[in-house]
Amino acid sequence: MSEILRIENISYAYPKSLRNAIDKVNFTVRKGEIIGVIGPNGSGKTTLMKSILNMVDYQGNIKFYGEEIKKIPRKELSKKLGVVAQEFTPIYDMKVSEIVEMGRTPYTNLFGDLSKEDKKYVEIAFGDLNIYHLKDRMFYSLSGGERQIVYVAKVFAQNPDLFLLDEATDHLDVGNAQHLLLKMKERVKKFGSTVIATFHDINQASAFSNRIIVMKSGKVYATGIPEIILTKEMIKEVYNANCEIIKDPRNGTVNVFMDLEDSSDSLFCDVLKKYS
Amino acid sequence: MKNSRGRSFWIILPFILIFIIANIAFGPVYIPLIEVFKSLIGMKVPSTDKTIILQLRLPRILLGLGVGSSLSVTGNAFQAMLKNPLADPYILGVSSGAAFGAILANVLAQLYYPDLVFYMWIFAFVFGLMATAITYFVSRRGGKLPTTELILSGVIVNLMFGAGVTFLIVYGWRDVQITSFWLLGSLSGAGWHDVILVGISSIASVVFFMSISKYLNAMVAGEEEAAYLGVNVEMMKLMIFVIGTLVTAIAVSTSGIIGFVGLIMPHMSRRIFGSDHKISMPASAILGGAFIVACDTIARTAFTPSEMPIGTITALIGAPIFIYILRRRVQNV
Repeated sequence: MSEILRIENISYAYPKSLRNAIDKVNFTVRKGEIIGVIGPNGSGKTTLMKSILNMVDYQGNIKFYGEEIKKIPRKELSKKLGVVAQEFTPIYDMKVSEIVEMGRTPYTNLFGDLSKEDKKYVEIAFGDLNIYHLKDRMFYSLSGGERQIVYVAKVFAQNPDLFLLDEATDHLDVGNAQHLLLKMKERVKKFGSTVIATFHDINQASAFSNRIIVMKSGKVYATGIPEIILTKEMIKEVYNANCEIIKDPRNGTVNVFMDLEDSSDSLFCDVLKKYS
Repeated sequence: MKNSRGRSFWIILPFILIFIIANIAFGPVYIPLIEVFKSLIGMKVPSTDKTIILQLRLPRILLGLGVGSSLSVTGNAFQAMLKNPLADPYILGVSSGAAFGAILANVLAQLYYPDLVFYMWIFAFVFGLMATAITYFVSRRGGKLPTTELILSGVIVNLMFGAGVTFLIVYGWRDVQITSFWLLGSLSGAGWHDVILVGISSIASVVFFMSISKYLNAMVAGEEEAAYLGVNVEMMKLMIFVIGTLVTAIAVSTSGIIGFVGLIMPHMSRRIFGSDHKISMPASAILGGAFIVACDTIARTAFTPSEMPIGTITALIGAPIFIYILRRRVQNV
């Protein structure tokens, strides 16, 4: 797999902040990879995303397809890089079709007229996410889960190579989160897309990602496949939380269970250990 | 983003234009509509009617159309750019700043340099920009413009420049009637030179805002979302602020402060014709123009022999709608 993103020694401190929000971060991303970025609040996940989007003035180098990201015009960058954030909140209510068509903004002429190719990508987005039935609905009449899928459809229509999911499942219930992540996986399979996703939910990161990057205090603490990276010790060290880890017997996916007992040898943990 | 609501605008447009022209018939002297249309297409009509139509009412109505559309498209663009449905040149204090600048030019012209009166709109523009900048930076919190802060900053800027206007009038002109003209707006005394200036600026602004409609559409979900779609947000904001303030300054320098048009007409046009700016820009321009023309007809006919300042009429209609939008906004937040 070819390398599409190389992050070299990047650091950034917010104005008036004494410490770096991200500090000498290094990693590379290869085409087709699904990378989950985890870490406690304030560990630098969102700043990392903003750096990749060239929205903060970081130090260091970020190379996208070999070119320094700061030198790529924003319009060209938006054709290759799409973002799904926590939620999409337009000031006015709009038709779902208008929102999905908005994804074609980097490609359309000055007046936003859709070409044949634009319409093709909009159709693909509607088809892949199976939301034809929502096409003429108003956005704010939809449920939270439906809105987030429409948001994803807008980014699908944008047709980027690299998707950045910035805590995109945070406001979703388990069913809607699963639906969104499955659709992203289908996209990766169908188009060979690449995904970098930040998560608060470690289990979602574990189930979704080929590789996990753990961040702590602005630095990359560890990186590797979820089965190796997600350990009881790592979680204690990074999140300062007591957890138990068990593997899904069907596919080996690692799951993290929060321990709410005082002692680690409590009855609850004994039961978990028995099945791990 | 073509839709049937958008297409319906072009069908309704001729009817709105006929409505605007029909306003020429009304005034202290009623002139039958047929005479108005005859006169406009160059057919023979009594000379007094012709003078009233072509020298008094037509420029006034065209000025109203230009001022209404200028304020309305600026309000529409500000609302999208600031992601706030209550943003408009009046609420943000741009109109007050522009009025202060225009009066300052007048006072300086009267006291020192008579030629300054021809550059009134430049003074209006500079002080309008100052007012916009103050409101923007005072209300900005963590990259956002919360509704409460925006309104409060606008109120402060309005009070500040309102006090400045009163000061200039009391110490410069000592004329209470002029105070009423600037603070409550009026289209009386509209001349063809005003019509040409406002006409050019309003048409240019509609074309400009239509040409950036896809960027405005992207900005309604916030600056970050627009950036994700390739929009150069800072450049776009600067252009909208400068063009919007310039257009408002020209409108204010010819007709004083007319409130609420830039707030309610974009809402109405979006409600009827949808939120795509490619349609909502020309729609809010024409609806804003029609609204001002209709309000002006009420202002100059309902209280004869005296004339009500047009800002009083727009405020009477606009204030309840402002409250409605504010309450709905607060419920949604």
